[in-house]
Amino acid sequence: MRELLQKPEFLLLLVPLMPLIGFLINGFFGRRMALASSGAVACGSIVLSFVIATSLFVSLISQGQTVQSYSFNWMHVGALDIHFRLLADPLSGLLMMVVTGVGSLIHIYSVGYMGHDKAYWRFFAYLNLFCFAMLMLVLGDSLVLMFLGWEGVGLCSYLLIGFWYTHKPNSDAGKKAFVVNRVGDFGFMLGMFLLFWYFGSLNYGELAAGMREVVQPDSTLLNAACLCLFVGACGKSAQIPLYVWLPDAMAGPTPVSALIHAATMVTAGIYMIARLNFIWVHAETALTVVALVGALTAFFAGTIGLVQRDIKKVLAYSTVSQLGFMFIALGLGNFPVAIFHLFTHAFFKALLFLGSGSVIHSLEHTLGHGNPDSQDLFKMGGLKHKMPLTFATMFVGACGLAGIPLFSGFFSKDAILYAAFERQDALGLVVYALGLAAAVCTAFYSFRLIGLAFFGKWRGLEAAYAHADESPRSMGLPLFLLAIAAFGAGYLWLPAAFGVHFTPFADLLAPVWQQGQAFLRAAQSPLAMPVEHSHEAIVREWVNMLVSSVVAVGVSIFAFTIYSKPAGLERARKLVEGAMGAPYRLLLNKYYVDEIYDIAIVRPIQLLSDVFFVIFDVIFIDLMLVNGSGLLVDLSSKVARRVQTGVVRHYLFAFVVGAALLLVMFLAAL
Amino acid sequence: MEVFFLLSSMVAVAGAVLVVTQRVAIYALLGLLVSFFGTAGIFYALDATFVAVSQILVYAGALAVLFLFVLMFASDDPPEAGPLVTVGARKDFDPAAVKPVEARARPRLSMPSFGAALLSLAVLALMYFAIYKLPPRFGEFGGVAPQTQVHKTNPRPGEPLTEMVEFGSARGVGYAIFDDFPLAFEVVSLLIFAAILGAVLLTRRSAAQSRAEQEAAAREGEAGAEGAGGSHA
Amino acid sequence: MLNPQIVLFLCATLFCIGLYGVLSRNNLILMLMSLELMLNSANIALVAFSRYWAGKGLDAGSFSGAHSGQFFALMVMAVAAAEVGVGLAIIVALFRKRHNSDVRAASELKH
Repeated sequence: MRELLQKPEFLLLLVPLMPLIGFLINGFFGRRMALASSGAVACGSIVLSFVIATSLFVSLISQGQTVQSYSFNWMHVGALDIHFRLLADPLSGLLMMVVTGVGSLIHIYSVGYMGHDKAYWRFFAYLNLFCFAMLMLVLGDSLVLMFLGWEGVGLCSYLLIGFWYTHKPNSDAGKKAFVVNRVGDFGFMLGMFLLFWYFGSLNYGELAAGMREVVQPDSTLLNAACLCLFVGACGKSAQIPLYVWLPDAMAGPTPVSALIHAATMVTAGIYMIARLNFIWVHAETALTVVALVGALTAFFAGTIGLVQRDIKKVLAYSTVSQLGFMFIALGLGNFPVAIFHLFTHAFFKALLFLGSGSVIHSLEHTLGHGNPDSQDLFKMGGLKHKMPLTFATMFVGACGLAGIPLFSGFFSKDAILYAAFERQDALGLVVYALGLAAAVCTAFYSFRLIGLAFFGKWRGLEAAYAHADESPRSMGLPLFLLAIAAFGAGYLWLPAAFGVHFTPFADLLAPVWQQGQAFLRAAQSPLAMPVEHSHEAIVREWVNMLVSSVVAVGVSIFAFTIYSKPAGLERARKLVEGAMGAPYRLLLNKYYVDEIYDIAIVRPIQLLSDVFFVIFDVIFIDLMLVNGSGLLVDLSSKVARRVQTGVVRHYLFAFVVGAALLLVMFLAAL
Repeated sequence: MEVFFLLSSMVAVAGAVLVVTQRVAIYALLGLLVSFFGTAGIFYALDATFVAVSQILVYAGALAVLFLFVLMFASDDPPEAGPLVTVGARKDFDPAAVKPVEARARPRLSMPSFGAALLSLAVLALMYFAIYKLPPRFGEFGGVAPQTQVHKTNPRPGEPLTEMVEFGSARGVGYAIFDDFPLAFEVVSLLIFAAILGAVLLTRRSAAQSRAEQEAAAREGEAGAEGAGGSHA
Repeated sequence: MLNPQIVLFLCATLFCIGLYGVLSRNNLILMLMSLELMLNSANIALVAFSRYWAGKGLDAGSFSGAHSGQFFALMVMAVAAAEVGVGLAIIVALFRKRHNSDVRAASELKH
């Protein structure tokens, strides 16, 4: 056993296995288990998984080694040979650390947050199952395993969004997430099939080898496959046009929003593209589409986020917007920067969600569970006196999100904008402009949120403010740790312009991009990442950094001064009631996208379904097939049952006659 | 031997006819017994002495007695059918509650019996035809040597490999059973074991069943007592 | 002159008498008795053939050649005993339920 525990092949299997075991225990026995033990099982399993993951990461992966688990034969049909094997290379190892690390903190946080819920065990079972599925997605060594996790996280997302399923909007939101994700999954599958058709394998290693061997790649097919995969990424990572489910997904418990809908699951699309970067570099058109979609999403989601009243909705749109930033980086071929932003975003966005959960939790004591007022920013104010820790940590998170210099978001977002700036062509310009506008929005709504929630005068029910209190320690600790990570994560990759060469993050991931970058450099593509920074480039980087710093700080202060004082708030209200009324309503109604989808897609499908329901279901299937076959059996059995009289003698007669006939047959044969 | 065979076969056929025609069950059983004895005689006439003895032991001894028990226990013949059949009938058995068996009211050759006779005769004709068509070599039995040599399959060390046995003797059949067909023998023992278990299971009363019967009896007793009380008042 | 054909005629006669009994009787016990008659007739045929092969000298070498017929007759007896045991148990169980042993009453399986 001890020998086994020293083998990385085995330890890697344990990483996703631990949450699975936790899920099984809580899922089967949770109902009968005490609250404390149910939470202990869930937290213990994921923390254990984190410890194993850390030991693997520190000892092997950070040294540049790749860990592979034992391989199991999963299915073998014809040319399709799928092995069940986990793979932790720098990229998946990093994500494994994020999933288990942030997952552990959120599990611990949930112990306090969900303490009052009677389906406590169910929550933890789902949460553990999610961690298992997410780890499968990240660690699987083939697209099939990734798809397994992909669907698994979708299922958990559905289950957790509709966690309080007795309230219909919640279960509707869950269904919406599931259906929209199905659209994306369909694209993902098509992309998978195309890749299999082209390469005859779905294993990353074999795909990479196949890509190396191909002399003249069929760029049409690769573009098509990548675009199909991107449809899947759009669904999972909430990009235009499939982003509509994510804001609704806020119906789930806040820890779920933090873990699934901010830190991990929604980044699956980014991970997938980064993972397959060696294929994507051959699909320039698809990358352009990715960049444009990302930029548009970042901008539009950012603008919608400006006017949301619900604290979680603000964060949800900011998540969509930040995911857009990551796709910008991917589309520009700067994969490590996208992963870097994913990394920092996981911390500060989880932190912001958990902080908002802390606020909601303390207000729900008085307002009652599920009361929308507990999430309404305009019914908060001045909470910094009541909840100092929550305020301080959320402030760090907001600075990170807004991109205030020296906070983590600054480094990663600035790197993305710089990549667009450096591109120096039409695409780069468009993307840069949209990205900068989105950054403005980001800074604005981040500090609007801080100002509204923590400063100014309390605008809600007096009793709620009186009873508002700092959350328990089990919630405070994760906030504190995440705040440290949210501040410090950015320093793992300092920009070249700082003059200090400190880039452990980029160095770690470098082998992942090797093959793709080698191709790009050979082809002298503009997508290739710069290897050396010229003097001019450094100057441009400084310019870019100054611009975005000034924008972030200026807009932040501007938003803060408006929303932290009652007078500014009054002025803003007058403005939206007067001159700015039309655009305000447009944003408040999210550009009427849901309504447009309803008219353009949902209604026609419903009409078509009704027609098919009558023709096929009612007439063909129900009347002809179902009732018809029943009628046939009924009629024939009415005749046939007369044979079965139940009188023994009749059976005997039949038996003897049969035997006699057999005798006659034998005699005739003689 | 021919005479003995003829006598035995006449007895067997007479007994069989008695079995299928007698209306009183106990007489039918007597006919069956007679037929068994006749069959034993036929076996003896065919030089199968051991089988003849087994026939008497198993059929006439064990089976007939078993039939007799069940007849006494489970006969639905009404009392007027004869004194013998109702001997030992259950105490709570109420002849009036038994539905009259329609066959009894019918003439002897009612439709099903007529059909049965017709079908049996048809089968008989077929069989006779088949036997009549047998090749001529089945026209005689041929003589049997007084003793024949058998080769033992598993002789004990030091014993001779062959032995002289008489046809139809216990020794001869024993060699057939234990030397040539041991597996069939074991399987039959298993079958009988299963049959014993099955019979026990089928006839055993479950605890719930007997309790229900007791309760029903108790209720009837109470009702009777009340009725008596009422008449007194 | 005794010969196999005559014995077989006798077998067929006994068999068909038994068959008639099985087909015509309503009482389960009497049906079972008639069934025994049919088994008996089969036994006679087995023993007759055993005797026939013994007369043909088939008992040279392994003795079972001629004796196997008698062996099978014994097996039939054993099986008949088992059959009667179970059959009578069924009759007793049925009788407990409905206080008669008429086959025509036992037709619940029809429904």
